[in-house]
Amino acid sequence: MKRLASLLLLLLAPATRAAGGAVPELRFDRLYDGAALTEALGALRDAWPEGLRLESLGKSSQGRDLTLAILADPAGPPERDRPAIWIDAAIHGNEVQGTEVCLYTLWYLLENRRRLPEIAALLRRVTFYVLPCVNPDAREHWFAPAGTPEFPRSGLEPLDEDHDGLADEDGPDDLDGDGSITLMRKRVASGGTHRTVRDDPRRMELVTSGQEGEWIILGWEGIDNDGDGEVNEDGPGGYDLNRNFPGDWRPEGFQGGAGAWPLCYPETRAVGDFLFAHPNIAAVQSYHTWGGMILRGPGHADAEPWPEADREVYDELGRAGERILPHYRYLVLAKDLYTAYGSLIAFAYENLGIFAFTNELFADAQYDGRPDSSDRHRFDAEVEFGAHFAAWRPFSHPRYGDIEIGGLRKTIGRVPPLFMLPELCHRNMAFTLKHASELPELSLGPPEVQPIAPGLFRVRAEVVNRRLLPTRSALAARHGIGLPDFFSIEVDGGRVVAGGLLHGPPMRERAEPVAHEPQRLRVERGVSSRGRIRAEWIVAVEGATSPAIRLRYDSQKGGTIAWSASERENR
Amino acid sequence: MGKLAVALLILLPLLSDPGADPAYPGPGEVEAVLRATPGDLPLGRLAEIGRSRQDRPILALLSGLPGPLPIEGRPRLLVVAGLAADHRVGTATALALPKALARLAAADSAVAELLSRCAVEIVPLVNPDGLAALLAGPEREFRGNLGPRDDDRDGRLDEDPPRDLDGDGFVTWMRVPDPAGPLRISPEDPRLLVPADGSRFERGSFHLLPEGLDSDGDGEVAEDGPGGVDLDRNFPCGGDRYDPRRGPAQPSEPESRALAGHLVGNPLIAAVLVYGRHDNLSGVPPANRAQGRAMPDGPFPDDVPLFSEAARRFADTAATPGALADPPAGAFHHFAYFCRGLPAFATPLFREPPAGDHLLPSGAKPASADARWLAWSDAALDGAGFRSLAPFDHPTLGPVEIGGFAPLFRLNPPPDALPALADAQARFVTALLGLLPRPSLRAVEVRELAPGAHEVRVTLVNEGAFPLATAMGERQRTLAPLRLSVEPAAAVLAGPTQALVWRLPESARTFRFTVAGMPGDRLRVLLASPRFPPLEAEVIL
Ligand SMILES: [Zn+2]
Repeated sequence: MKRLASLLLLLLAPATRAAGGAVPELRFDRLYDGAALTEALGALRDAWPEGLRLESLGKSSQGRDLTLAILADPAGPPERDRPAIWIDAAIHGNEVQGTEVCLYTLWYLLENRRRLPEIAALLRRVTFYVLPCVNPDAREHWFAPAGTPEFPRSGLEPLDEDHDGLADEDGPDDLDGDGSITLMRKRVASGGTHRTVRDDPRRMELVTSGQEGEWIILGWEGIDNDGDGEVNEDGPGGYDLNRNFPGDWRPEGFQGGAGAWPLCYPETRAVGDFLFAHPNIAAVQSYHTWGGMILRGPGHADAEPWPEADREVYDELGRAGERILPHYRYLVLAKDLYTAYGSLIAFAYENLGIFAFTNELFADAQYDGRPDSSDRHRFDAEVEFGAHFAAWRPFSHPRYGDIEIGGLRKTIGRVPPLFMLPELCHRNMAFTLKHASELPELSLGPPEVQPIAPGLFRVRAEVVNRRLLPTRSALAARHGIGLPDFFSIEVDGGRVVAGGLLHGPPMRERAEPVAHEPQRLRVERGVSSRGRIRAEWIVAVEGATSPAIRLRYDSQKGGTIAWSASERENR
Repeated sequence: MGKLAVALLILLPLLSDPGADPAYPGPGEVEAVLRATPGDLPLGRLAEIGRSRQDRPILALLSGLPGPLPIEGRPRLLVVAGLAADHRVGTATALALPKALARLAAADSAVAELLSRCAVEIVPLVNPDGLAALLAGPEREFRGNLGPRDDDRDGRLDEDPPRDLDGDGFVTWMRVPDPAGPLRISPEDPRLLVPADGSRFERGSFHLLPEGLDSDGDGEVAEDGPGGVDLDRNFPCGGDRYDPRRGPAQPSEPESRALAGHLVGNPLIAAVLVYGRHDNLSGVPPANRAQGRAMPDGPFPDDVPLFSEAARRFADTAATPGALADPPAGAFHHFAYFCRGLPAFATPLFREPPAGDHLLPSGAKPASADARWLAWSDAALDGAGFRSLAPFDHPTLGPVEIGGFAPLFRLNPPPDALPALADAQARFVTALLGLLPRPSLRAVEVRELAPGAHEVRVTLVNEGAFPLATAMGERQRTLAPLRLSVEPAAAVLAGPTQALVWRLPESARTFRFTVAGMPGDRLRVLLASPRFPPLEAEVIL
């Protein structure tokens, strides 16, 4: 039977593919700017329009579409009635390659949805909401006119950072026109802080006290555009979208870059409003760069301690991530990294009860596979043949006079070597698919029905979750976030006399009858990680020898599942 | 049920729409008044700052007297009311302010001078949907907007609302006999209940429930009515994020987002006054004790004098006695101060029964607050403040008594008290305008350093009482600094071409510029800021 089914699948595959179009052959040893991304997403959608939809969540500050991909096999339940994972990237515009991870994920799922049964099953069971670029304005600015590894991180709503009445009037300038903002240095007779490394003229090193340096570093390429005596002090934007989410948000004086109020920017508001409107989202994955980290909240030390049951779920996924992603470490934001108020992952978990990770893509140790080494110059020279180095060249600067411009370009540091990008995409996707595969999966078997007296029956039923993620996080249950799950029974021509959840060990379990609405039991804690919940009802059906029963379990994050005597529904 | 319907029918002609009272306008009347008379003060400008969930306009009226500057360019005080639907006194008073200010200005030239260089902006009704729902009756306590809220989290919206079971037009309380109840009859008056004190062997015999049914059969009475989010809890800064009345995010509602956007987008707003349930004017809130990056729990110590000065002016002009703490709890004035650094004040306008020697029917002097309200209602209002208790046969609870304070009685004074309130507020508002910071350029001096080089000394003076910015505003960097500069900038020989002034806690400060020029050359000293009208002075070397 099984063999026949797979044979059928094989036979059917080419036919359906022809109907949808071929999955495009995309390369992942390159970066996609906005136009290339739009084209690639369109080609993927055309390959399977029944399963992949593109939707605009709104416009960015500069009017670019925030394009969301919604991926779900229509053979499964409706996309909003099943557990979902939200995947996003590039909320920091300079952290570009998360976008490629998103694109790769969509491509891989399409490419393998027939070949790999596990992928096929995942696409039938789970909805993927993928926003490859949260901050398209800044990511586009990174490509052109120019960026640095660190810039532009902010969204691009103008902000008057130097309080001179003009916004964004003095940012970095690509003075030598090479598409990268690199460093400026000036040779000085005395007082230099750096000197050229003896056997590598491309590099400088700090001088120690007592030595004489030959260079002072003047910062990123740029001039004093507004004539106030400062260079590069008011560039595009100047805030941090990933400090603008509600929950533990703090205003500017307590969290730099926070914005005027939570969700005040179009990009964050689009994300926040979508998460509010989709309570089926039970997992969140955000891609950032860099450092080789799998991060979870809380974002600050004085946050309410997270419940142990939820930490165990996080820890199991985090440990899996450390296996899947060599050189990556599973860390807690506030404890291991820094304090951040108003981040997306803290909002997702603490306000919405969603298990959420940030991956900081690429670890320096990956350059040569050794944890203690991160020599980018040597790597660039020996492995990438100088692709990321702009030779130091003289420049006549209006303020600093004769200087030199050069150094490592934006394409190294946060961005991985492009020949390593496919592996980065695949392994990070594998971790995220692990998270997605652990979204709750419920089953509801036939109930045990036991006659008690003529026309009176005891009904016991069980819902099992075979996955790691519970249908309700312990924090959600603690604070009443979202709706509880509901376990309901209907009896044809009869009524429900009493009912309650069963507690205690098998054979000795006790029912806790509810005082009201026994036909619809509230399950505030949901079905736990790889756990089960059992319920018992007493039902009365006059003159019947066996009652006609319908059972139903409704869970915002676990989906809806039903059972009836006449027809097995598994919706 | 049949009995209930009959009772409703009989009582129907007696129900009066509280909105029909011209002193307490409904949303349509507020809009009509604002549109018809854009300013009882001669200058008025009406703006729509946003729309409610049900697409009603949220309007702001800017008003003042003619003066050297157009009204849009003047520093202004923002007066906000009607965040909570049932706080009708706020809306009525804010709406009456322009007229009251005009009367005051006609009688007092100092007020006229203030109103010719400042402006007052009123947003009398932030929550028009909530007020419309309230006016549709019956009368009940109702703060929220009409944002969907599944109060009992059962997946069904608004299925078990409070109801006017006895058909008297009011949703009050049900007194349920209960041998284990926490409440007993008050010794002051049998209409009142007080907590039974177990430590003194007192026995309770009642519990109280809102007037209603258990429509959804979950054992709870009237636990899921329509709406909504309490807009005066729907702002960031303080409060419990999991309190469902605060909405899913702060701000989450179109009304509160519109108001936040209006505040942030208009840097000329120099201070905020909110009419609502909060109070930081009948006392001085204690200073912040939180450290580091923790959210402050009170004003920064450097800002406390500003709050105490406002409280002093409030006591002079609009006295309402009392003590208070006002920790940040996500109210609009908390957002204005704790997030934006603006001086922000709040008053309920009405919080005590008017003074008077009203006695209880027993002849005793009322001691508790409830008894004082009751005595005042009996003696001065013909008992209108209290719906007398009457037996009612409740379908699930059995015999109960229904009655209690009229829902809006302790929140909103009788209409005849409103004109005096508006006049008192006009006095307080002008007092606040008089305290606002007011930078000016004084004493421009020139000294020749060498042929072709001069030192220009400019003294910046704050003629107002409040500093140019609060300490909170300086910390937040939300209140733009003043920029003092010399034009042409090329004339500046050394040092920066402009100076930034954030706070100026002292009343004056002198700045020096070294400039190039020959005797007789003319330069200009400019003072610019989005928060103040621009100033300039000519310098002749
Ligand atoms: Zn980042």
